[in-house]
Amino acid sequence: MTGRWGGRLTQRPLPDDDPLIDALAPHARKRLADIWHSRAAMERRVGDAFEVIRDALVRRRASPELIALAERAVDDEMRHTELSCIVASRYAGKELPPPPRLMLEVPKHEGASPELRDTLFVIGQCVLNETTASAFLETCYELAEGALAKAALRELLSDEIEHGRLGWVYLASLDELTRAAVAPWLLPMAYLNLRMWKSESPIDPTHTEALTHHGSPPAKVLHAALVDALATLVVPGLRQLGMPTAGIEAWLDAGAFTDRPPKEFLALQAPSADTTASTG
Amino acid sequence: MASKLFRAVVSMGLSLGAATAACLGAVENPPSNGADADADAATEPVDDSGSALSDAELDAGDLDAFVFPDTSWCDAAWPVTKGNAPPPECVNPEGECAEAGMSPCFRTPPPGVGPHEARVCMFYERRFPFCIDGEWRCEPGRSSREDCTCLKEEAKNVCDGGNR
Repeated sequence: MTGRWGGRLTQRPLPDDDPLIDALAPHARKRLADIWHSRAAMERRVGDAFEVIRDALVRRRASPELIALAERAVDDEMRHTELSCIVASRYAGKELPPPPRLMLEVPKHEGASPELRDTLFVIGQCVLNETTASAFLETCYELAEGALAKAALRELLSDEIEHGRLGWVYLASLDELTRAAVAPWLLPMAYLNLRMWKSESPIDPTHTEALTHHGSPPAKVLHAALVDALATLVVPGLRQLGMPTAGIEAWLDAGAFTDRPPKEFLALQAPSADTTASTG
Repeated sequence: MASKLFRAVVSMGLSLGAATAACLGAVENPPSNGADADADAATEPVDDSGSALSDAELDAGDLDAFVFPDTSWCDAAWPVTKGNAPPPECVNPEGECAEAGMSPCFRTPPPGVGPHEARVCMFYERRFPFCIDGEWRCEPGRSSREDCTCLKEEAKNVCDGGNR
Protein backbone atom coordinates (compact mmCIF):
# COMPACT_ATOMS: atom_id res chain seq x y z
CA MET A 1 0.00 0.00 0.00
CA THR A 2 1.82 3.07 -1.17
CA GLY A 3 0.62 6.40 -2.33
CA ARG A 4 -2.81 7.89 -1.99
CA TRP A 5 -5.11 9.33 -4.60
CA GLY A 6 -3.81 7.18 -7.43
CA GLY A 7 -0.50 8.95 -7.56
CA ARG A 8 -2.03 12.41 -7.59
CA LEU A 9 -0.63 15.03 -5.27
CA THR A 10 -3.96 15.87 -3.67
CA GLN A 11 -7.39 14.32 -3.27
CA ARG A 12 -9.03 17.37 -4.82
CA PRO A 13 -7.43 19.77 -7.27
CA LEU A 14 -5.99 22.92 -5.78
CA PRO A 15 -7.78 26.12 -6.80
CA ASP A 16 -6.19 27.86 -9.76
CA ASP A 17 -7.11 31.30 -8.50
CA ASP A 18 -7.14 32.88 -5.12
CA PRO A 19 -8.13 36.54 -5.13
CA LEU A 20 -7.03 36.88 -1.54
CA ILE A 21 -3.46 36.13 -2.56
CA ASP A 22 -3.61 38.73 -5.29
CA ALA A 23 -4.80 41.26 -2.73
CA LEU A 24 -1.90 40.66 -0.35
CA ALA A 25 0.81 43.24 0.17
CA PRO A 26 4.21 42.14 -1.17
CA HIS A 27 5.65 41.89 2.31
CA ALA A 28 2.86 39.57 3.45
CA ARG A 29 3.27 37.42 0.35
CA LYS A 30 6.97 37.11 1.04
CA ARG A 31 6.33 36.13 4.65
CA LEU A 32 3.79 33.51 3.64
CA ALA A 33 6.11 32.13 0.99
CA ASP A 34 8.82 31.79 3.65
CA ILE A 35 6.48 30.11 6.12
CA TRP A 36 5.10 27.60 3.61
CA HIS A 37 8.54 26.90 2.19
CA SER A 38 9.80 26.28 5.68
CA ARG A 39 6.88 23.94 6.27
CA ALA A 40 7.81 22.06 3.10
CA ALA A 41 11.25 21.38 4.55
CA MET A 42 9.72 20.25 7.81
CA GLU A 43 7.36 17.86 6.05
CA ARG A 44 10.30 16.31 4.24
CA ARG A 45 12.03 15.69 7.54
CA VAL A 46 8.93 14.01 8.95
CA GLY A 47 9.04 11.69 5.94
CA ASP A 48 12.43 10.59 7.24
CA ALA A 49 10.92 10.24 10.71
CA PHE A 50 8.24 7.90 9.43
CA GLU A 51 10.89 5.67 7.90
CA VAL A 52 12.21 5.25 11.44
CA ILE A 53 8.69 4.54 12.68
CA ARG A 54 8.06 1.98 9.96
CA ASP A 55 11.28 0.17 10.82
CA ALA A 56 10.36 0.22 14.52
CA LEU A 57 6.98 -1.33 13.75
CA VAL A 58 8.65 -4.02 11.68
CA ARG A 59 11.00 -4.83 14.53
CA ARG A 60 8.07 -4.97 16.93
CA ARG A 61 6.24 -7.31 14.59
CA ALA A 62 3.26 -5.02 14.35
CA SER A 63 0.42 -6.01 12.05
CA PRO A 64 1.11 -5.73 8.32
CA GLU A 65 -1.69 -3.18 8.07
CA LEU A 66 -0.01 -0.92 10.60
CA ILE A 67 3.36 -1.24 8.88
CA ALA A 68 1.69 -0.43 5.56
CA LEU A 69 0.16 2.69 7.10
CA ALA A 70 3.58 3.83 8.26
CA GLU A 71 4.96 3.14 4.81
CA ARG A 72 2.20 5.21 3.29
CA ALA A 73 2.91 7.97 5.79
CA VAL A 74 6.40 8.27 4.33
CA ASP A 75 4.84 8.87 0.95
CA ASP A 76 2.27 11.23 2.46
CA GLU A 77 4.98 13.43 3.91
CA MET A 78 6.74 13.57 0.54
CA ARG A 79 3.47 14.75 -1.01
CA HIS A 80 3.09 17.26 1.80
CA THR A 81 6.53 18.57 0.97
CA GLU A 82 5.60 19.09 -2.63
CA LEU A 83 2.21 20.52 -1.77
CA SER A 84 3.68 23.01 0.70
CA CYS A 85 6.32 24.00 -1.83
CA ILE A 86 3.65 24.62 -4.44
CA VAL A 87 1.71 26.79 -1.99
CA ALA A 88 4.90 28.68 -1.12
CA SER A 89 5.58 29.23 -4.80
CA ARG A 90 2.09 30.61 -5.34
CA TYR A 91 2.69 33.17 -2.62
CA ALA A 92 6.17 33.91 -3.97
CA GLY A 93 4.76 34.39 -7.45
CA LYS A 94 7.35 32.08 -8.93
CA GLU A 95 8.50 28.51 -8.66
CA LEU A 96 10.65 28.03 -5.61
CA PRO A 97 13.36 25.37 -5.45
CA PRO A 98 12.77 22.21 -3.42
CA PRO A 99 13.42 22.86 0.26
CA PRO A 100 16.67 21.75 1.85
CA ARG A 101 16.71 18.43 3.61
CA LEU A 102 16.71 19.04 7.33
CA MET A 103 18.64 16.90 9.72
CA LEU A 104 16.54 14.41 11.66
CA GLU A 105 17.43 13.92 15.28
CA VAL A 106 15.84 10.77 16.66
CA PRO A 107 15.02 10.64 20.40
CA LYS A 108 17.46 8.52 22.38
CA HIS A 109 15.22 7.39 25.22
CA GLU A 110 18.25 6.51 27.29
CA GLY A 111 17.53 3.80 29.80
CA ALA A 112 14.87 2.15 27.71
CA SER A 113 15.43 -1.29 26.23
CA PRO A 114 15.62 -1.42 22.43
CA GLU A 115 12.14 -2.89 22.39
CA LEU A 116 10.69 -0.21 24.60
CA ARG A 117 12.50 2.44 22.56
CA ASP A 118 10.75 1.25 19.42
CA THR A 119 7.43 1.54 21.17
CA LEU A 120 8.27 5.01 22.47
CA PHE A 121 9.20 6.03 18.93
CA VAL A 122 5.71 5.19 17.69
CA ILE A 123 4.05 6.86 20.65
CA GLY A 124 6.18 10.01 20.44
CA GLN A 125 5.73 10.46 16.73
CA CYS A 126 2.13 9.35 16.29
CA VAL A 127 0.24 9.49 19.60
CA LEU A 128 1.83 12.81 20.51
CA ASN A 129 3.34 14.58 17.50
CA GLU A 130 0.81 13.71 14.82
CA THR A 131 -2.19 13.98 17.13
CA THR A 132 -1.16 17.47 18.16
CA ALA A 133 -0.36 18.23 14.52
CA SER A 134 -3.99 17.49 13.72
CA ALA A 135 -5.07 20.14 16.22
CA PHE A 136 -2.50 22.59 14.83
CA LEU A 137 -3.80 22.06 11.30
CA GLU A 138 -7.43 22.18 12.32
CA THR A 139 -6.82 25.56 13.94
CA CYS A 140 -5.01 26.83 10.87
CA TYR A 141 -7.83 25.55 8.67
CA GLU A 142 -10.65 26.99 10.76
CA LEU A 143 -9.10 30.45 10.72
CA ALA A 144 -7.93 30.45 7.10
CA GLU A 145 -9.88 32.29 4.45
CA GLY A 146 -7.67 32.05 1.39
CA ALA A 147 -8.90 29.39 -1.02
CA LEU A 148 -5.45 27.94 -1.66
CA ALA A 149 -4.45 27.82 1.99
CA LYS A 150 -7.75 26.23 2.99
CA ALA A 151 -7.49 23.60 0.27
CA ALA A 152 -3.91 22.75 1.18
CA LEU A 153 -4.63 22.61 4.90
CA ARG A 154 -7.61 20.32 4.33
CA GLU A 155 -5.40 17.90 2.40
CA LEU A 156 -2.71 17.97 5.07
CA LEU A 157 -5.20 17.51 7.90
CA SER A 158 -6.86 14.44 6.41
CA ASP A 159 -3.50 12.66 6.27
CA GLU A 160 -2.34 13.78 9.71
CA ILE A 161 -5.49 12.32 11.22
CA GLU A 162 -4.51 8.93 9.91
CA HIS A 163 -0.93 9.33 11.09
CA GLY A 164 -2.11 10.14 14.59
CA ARG A 165 -4.59 7.28 14.52
CA LEU A 166 -1.75 4.90 13.66
CA GLY A 167 -0.23 5.63 17.04
CA TRP A 168 -3.45 5.03 18.92
CA VAL A 169 -4.02 1.74 17.11
CA TYR A 170 -0.56 0.65 18.11
CA LEU A 171 -0.92 1.81 21.70
CA ALA A 172 -4.25 0.03 22.09
CA SER A 173 -2.77 -3.17 20.71
CA LEU A 174 -0.03 -3.30 23.35
CA ASP A 175 -0.34 -5.51 26.38
CA GLU A 176 -0.84 -3.92 29.77
CA LEU A 177 2.69 -4.55 31.00
CA THR A 178 4.11 -2.68 28.06
CA ARG A 179 1.68 0.19 28.51
CA ALA A 180 2.73 0.39 32.15
CA ALA A 181 6.36 0.56 31.08
CA VAL A 182 5.49 3.38 28.68
CA ALA A 183 3.57 5.42 31.25
CA PRO A 184 6.40 7.28 33.01
CA TRP A 185 7.88 8.40 29.69
CA LEU A 186 4.74 10.18 28.65
CA LEU A 187 5.22 13.35 30.66
CA PRO A 188 8.77 14.08 29.43
CA MET A 189 7.71 13.26 25.89
CA ALA A 190 4.63 15.48 26.05
CA TYR A 191 6.69 18.31 27.52
CA LEU A 192 9.39 18.00 24.85
CA ASN A 193 6.80 17.79 22.10
CA LEU A 194 5.02 20.93 23.22
CA ARG A 195 8.34 22.72 23.64
CA MET A 196 9.28 21.78 20.10
CA TRP A 197 5.97 23.05 18.76
CA LYS A 198 6.34 26.34 20.58
CA SER A 199 9.89 26.71 19.34
CA GLU A 200 8.76 26.24 15.76
CA SER A 201 5.90 28.71 16.20
CA PRO A 202 7.42 31.50 18.23
CA ILE A 203 5.53 34.59 19.31
CA ASP A 204 5.89 37.03 16.45
CA PRO A 205 5.14 40.66 17.31
CA THR A 206 4.92 41.49 13.62
CA HIS A 207 2.17 38.94 12.97
CA THR A 208 -0.78 40.27 10.99
CA GLU A 209 -4.29 39.05 10.32
CA ALA A 210 -3.36 38.45 6.71
CA LEU A 211 -1.08 35.64 7.82
CA THR A 212 -3.94 34.06 9.75
CA HIS A 213 -6.13 34.16 6.66
CA HIS A 214 -3.52 32.19 4.76
CA GLY A 215 -2.87 29.39 7.21
CA SER A 216 -0.55 30.93 9.75
CA PRO A 217 -2.46 32.01 12.88
CA PRO A 218 -0.83 33.85 15.76
CA ALA A 219 1.46 31.76 17.93
CA LYS A 220 -0.68 32.31 21.02
CA VAL A 221 -3.67 30.78 19.28
CA LEU A 222 -1.61 27.84 18.12
CA HIS A 223 -0.04 27.27 21.51
CA ALA A 224 -3.49 27.23 23.10
CA ALA A 225 -4.69 24.72 20.52
CA LEU A 226 -1.72 22.47 21.18
CA VAL A 227 -2.25 22.53 24.93
CA ASP A 228 -5.94 21.89 24.34
CA ALA A 229 -5.02 18.91 22.17
CA LEU A 230 -3.01 17.42 24.99
CA ALA A 231 -5.91 17.96 27.40
CA THR A 232 -8.79 16.88 25.19
CA LEU A 233 -7.25 14.34 22.82
CA VAL A 234 -4.17 12.77 24.36
CA VAL A 235 -5.14 12.62 28.03
CA PRO A 236 -8.62 11.16 27.45
CA GLY A 237 -7.19 8.64 25.02
CA LEU A 238 -4.61 7.49 27.53
CA ARG A 239 -7.28 7.33 30.21
CA GLN A 240 -9.43 5.10 28.06
CA LEU A 241 -6.54 2.66 28.00
CA GLY A 242 -6.22 2.82 31.77
CA MET A 243 -2.87 4.57 31.57
CA PRO A 244 -1.89 7.06 34.26
CA THR A 245 -2.31 10.70 33.28
CA ALA A 246 -2.08 12.49 36.61
CA GLY A 247 1.39 13.86 35.93
CA ILE A 248 0.47 15.23 32.53
CA GLU A 249 -2.76 16.68 33.87
CA ALA A 250 -0.98 18.36 36.78
CA TRP A 251 1.48 19.91 34.34
CA LEU A 252 -1.36 21.08 32.09
CA ASP A 253 -3.17 22.52 35.11
CA ALA A 254 0.01 24.36 36.03
CA GLY A 255 -0.03 26.08 32.65
CA ALA A 256 1.87 23.54 30.56
CA PHE A 257 5.06 25.50 31.04
CA THR A 258 7.99 24.65 28.77
CA ASP A 259 10.68 26.92 30.15
CA ARG A 260 11.80 24.16 32.52
CA PRO A 261 11.15 20.44 32.78
CA PRO A 262 8.04 19.66 34.86
CA LYS A 263 9.96 17.18 36.99
CA GLU A 264 7.83 17.86 40.04
CA PHE A 265 4.92 16.04 38.42
CA LEU A 266 6.82 12.94 37.36
CA ALA A 267 5.99 10.88 40.42
CA LEU A 268 2.30 11.35 39.61
CA GLN A 269 2.88 9.78 36.23
CA ALA A 270 4.08 6.46 37.59
CA PRO A 271 1.76 3.54 37.01
CA SER A 272 -0.67 3.24 39.87
CA ALA A 273 -0.85 0.22 42.10
CA ASP A 274 -4.13 -0.64 40.40
CA THR A 275 -2.48 -0.64 37.01
CA THR A 276 0.54 -2.57 38.07
CA ALA A 277 -1.54 -5.11 39.92
CA SER A 278 -3.23 -6.04 36.68
CA THR A 279 -0.05 -6.32 34.67
CA GLY A 280 1.92 -9.36 33.88
CA MET B 1 -13.63 21.43 17.90
CA ALA B 2 -11.63 18.80 19.69
CA SER B 3 -14.41 16.24 19.93
CA LYS B 4 -14.50 15.73 16.17
CA LEU B 5 -10.78 15.19 16.17
CA PHE B 6 -11.06 12.94 19.19
CA ARG B 7 -13.45 10.67 17.36
CA ALA B 8 -11.41 10.66 14.16
CA VAL B 9 -7.96 10.24 15.65
CA VAL B 10 -8.22 8.74 19.11
CA SER B 11 -11.49 6.82 19.34
CA MET B 12 -11.15 5.17 15.97
CA GLY B 13 -7.52 4.35 16.66
CA LEU B 14 -8.33 2.78 19.99
CA SER B 15 -11.15 0.73 18.49
CA LEU B 16 -8.98 -0.55 15.68
CA GLY B 17 -6.15 -1.28 18.06
CA ALA B 18 -8.37 -3.22 20.41
CA ALA B 19 -9.75 -5.21 17.50
CA THR B 20 -6.24 -5.94 16.28
CA ALA B 21 -5.17 -7.17 19.68
CA ALA B 22 -8.28 -9.31 19.98
CA CYS B 23 -7.78 -10.90 16.57
CA LEU B 24 -4.03 -11.20 16.38
CA GLY B 25 -2.89 -10.92 19.98
CA ALA B 26 -1.16 -7.97 21.54
CA VAL B 27 1.94 -6.58 19.90
CA GLU B 28 5.00 -8.31 21.24
CA ASN B 29 5.68 -7.07 24.69
CA PRO B 30 8.83 -4.97 24.84
CA PRO B 31 10.64 -5.99 28.00
CA SER B 32 10.98 -3.02 30.24
CA ASN B 33 14.58 -1.88 30.23
CA GLY B 34 16.11 -5.25 29.81
CA ALA B 35 14.24 -7.06 32.53
CA ASP B 36 13.10 -10.53 31.45
CA ALA B 37 14.90 -10.04 28.19
CA ASP B 38 17.35 -12.86 28.37
CA ALA B 39 17.81 -13.07 24.67
CA ASP B 40 18.42 -9.38 24.39
CA ALA B 41 20.63 -9.34 27.43
CA ALA B 42 23.00 -11.61 25.58
CA THR B 43 23.53 -9.09 22.84
CA GLU B 44 22.43 -5.75 24.21
CA PRO B 45 24.17 -4.18 27.17
CA VAL B 46 21.61 -2.75 29.55
CA ASP B 47 22.34 0.17 31.79
CA ASP B 48 20.43 -0.58 34.94
CA SER B 49 21.23 2.81 36.39
CA GLY B 50 19.01 4.35 33.77
CA SER B 51 16.19 1.93 34.26
CA ALA B 52 12.84 3.61 34.03
CA LEU B 53 10.74 0.92 35.52
CA SER B 54 11.71 -2.64 36.17
CA ASP B 55 9.26 -5.50 36.07
CA ALA B 56 9.82 -5.99 39.77
CA GLU B 57 8.76 -2.42 40.40
CA LEU B 58 5.73 -2.94 38.24
CA ASP B 59 4.75 -6.04 40.11
CA ALA B 60 5.20 -4.42 43.46
CA GLY B 61 3.65 -1.13 42.52
CA ASP B 62 6.40 0.43 44.56
CA LEU B 63 6.28 4.06 43.54
CA ASP B 64 9.04 5.00 45.97
CA ALA B 65 11.40 2.90 43.89
CA PHE B 66 10.43 4.76 40.77
CA VAL B 67 13.61 5.95 39.07
CA PHE B 68 13.63 7.79 35.83
CA PRO B 69 16.59 8.79 33.69
CA ASP B 70 17.09 12.51 34.02
CA THR B 71 18.34 12.68 30.45
CA SER B 72 14.77 12.15 29.31
CA TRP B 73 14.00 15.80 29.95
CA CYS B 74 16.74 16.76 27.54
CA ASP B 75 16.01 14.21 24.89
CA ALA B 76 15.11 15.19 21.37
CA ALA B 77 11.48 15.41 20.41
CA TRP B 78 10.25 14.17 17.09
CA PRO B 79 10.40 17.15 14.77
CA VAL B 80 7.07 18.78 14.17
CA THR B 81 5.62 19.03 10.71
CA LYS B 82 4.45 22.60 10.81
CA GLY B 83 5.57 25.91 12.09
CA ASN B 84 5.30 29.61 11.64
CA ALA B 85 8.81 30.63 12.49
CA PRO B 86 9.84 33.58 10.35
CA PRO B 87 13.50 34.40 9.79
CA PRO B 88 14.67 37.51 11.63
CA GLU B 89 14.01 40.60 9.58
CA CYS B 90 17.68 41.51 9.68
CA VAL B 91 18.76 38.37 7.89
CA ASN B 92 17.51 39.24 4.44
CA PRO B 93 15.89 42.67 4.66
CA GLU B 94 16.19 43.54 0.99
CA GLY B 95 15.09 40.16 -0.27
CA GLU B 96 18.44 39.69 -1.94
CA CYS B 97 18.11 35.93 -1.64
CA ALA B 98 14.65 35.77 -3.14
CA GLU B 99 16.03 33.68 -5.97
CA ALA B 100 18.04 31.43 -3.71
CA GLY B 101 15.13 29.77 -1.95
CA MET B 102 15.28 28.70 1.62
CA SER B 103 18.53 28.79 3.47
CA PRO B 104 20.63 25.63 3.28
CA CYS B 105 22.57 26.39 6.43
CA PHE B 106 22.11 24.12 9.40
CA ARG B 107 24.16 23.18 12.35
CA THR B 108 25.99 19.90 12.03
CA PRO B 109 27.31 18.38 15.24
CA PRO B 110 30.93 17.34 15.61
CA PRO B 111 31.62 13.66 14.92
CA GLY B 112 30.24 11.45 17.64
CA VAL B 113 28.26 14.18 19.32
CA GLY B 114 24.55 14.40 18.82
CA PRO B 115 23.21 17.86 18.12
CA HIS B 116 21.08 17.67 21.21
CA GLU B 117 24.04 16.91 23.41
CA ALA B 118 25.93 19.68 21.71
CA ARG B 119 23.40 22.25 22.68
CA VAL B 120 22.93 20.83 26.18
CA CYS B 121 19.22 21.16 26.26
CA MET B 122 19.22 24.74 25.07
CA PHE B 123 17.24 25.76 22.08
CA TYR B 124 18.84 27.38 19.17
CA GLU B 125 17.52 28.23 15.78
CA ARG B 126 18.92 26.23 12.94
CA ARG B 127 17.72 27.92 9.84
CA PHE B 128 18.64 31.59 10.00
CA PRO B 129 21.79 32.20 8.04
CA PHE B 130 22.72 35.32 6.17
CA CYS B 131 22.06 36.52 2.70
CA ILE B 132 25.25 37.96 1.28
CA ASP B 133 25.54 38.96 -2.35
CA GLY B 134 22.43 37.00 -3.23
CA GLU B 135 23.63 33.79 -1.62
CA TRP B 136 22.82 32.15 1.67
CA ARG B 137 25.90 31.97 3.83
CA CYS B 138 26.93 31.27 7.36
CA GLU B 139 27.77 34.19 9.57
CA PRO B 140 31.01 35.98 8.76
CA GLY B 141 34.03 34.00 9.86
CA ARG B 142 32.35 30.66 9.37
CA SER B 143 32.28 29.30 5.92
CA SER B 144 31.79 25.58 5.93
CA ARG B 145 28.54 23.79 6.50
CA GLU B 146 30.08 22.13 9.54
CA ASP B 147 31.01 25.47 11.06
CA CYS B 148 27.74 27.14 10.45
CA THR B 149 25.82 27.48 13.67
CA CYS B 150 23.08 29.79 12.46
CA LEU B 151 22.25 30.81 15.98
CA LYS B 152 19.42 33.26 15.99
CA GLU B 153 21.03 35.26 18.74
CA GLU B 154 24.33 35.34 16.87
CA ALA B 155 22.47 36.43 13.77
CA LYS B 156 20.96 39.30 15.66
CA ASN B 157 24.31 40.31 17.08
CA VAL B 158 25.93 40.27 13.70
CA CYS B 159 23.07 42.24 12.21
CA ASP B 160 23.13 44.72 15.04
CA GLY B 161 26.87 45.03 14.60
CA GLY B 162 26.44 46.02 11.00
CA ASN B 163 28.47 43.09 9.75
CA ARG B 164 25.82 41.61 7.60
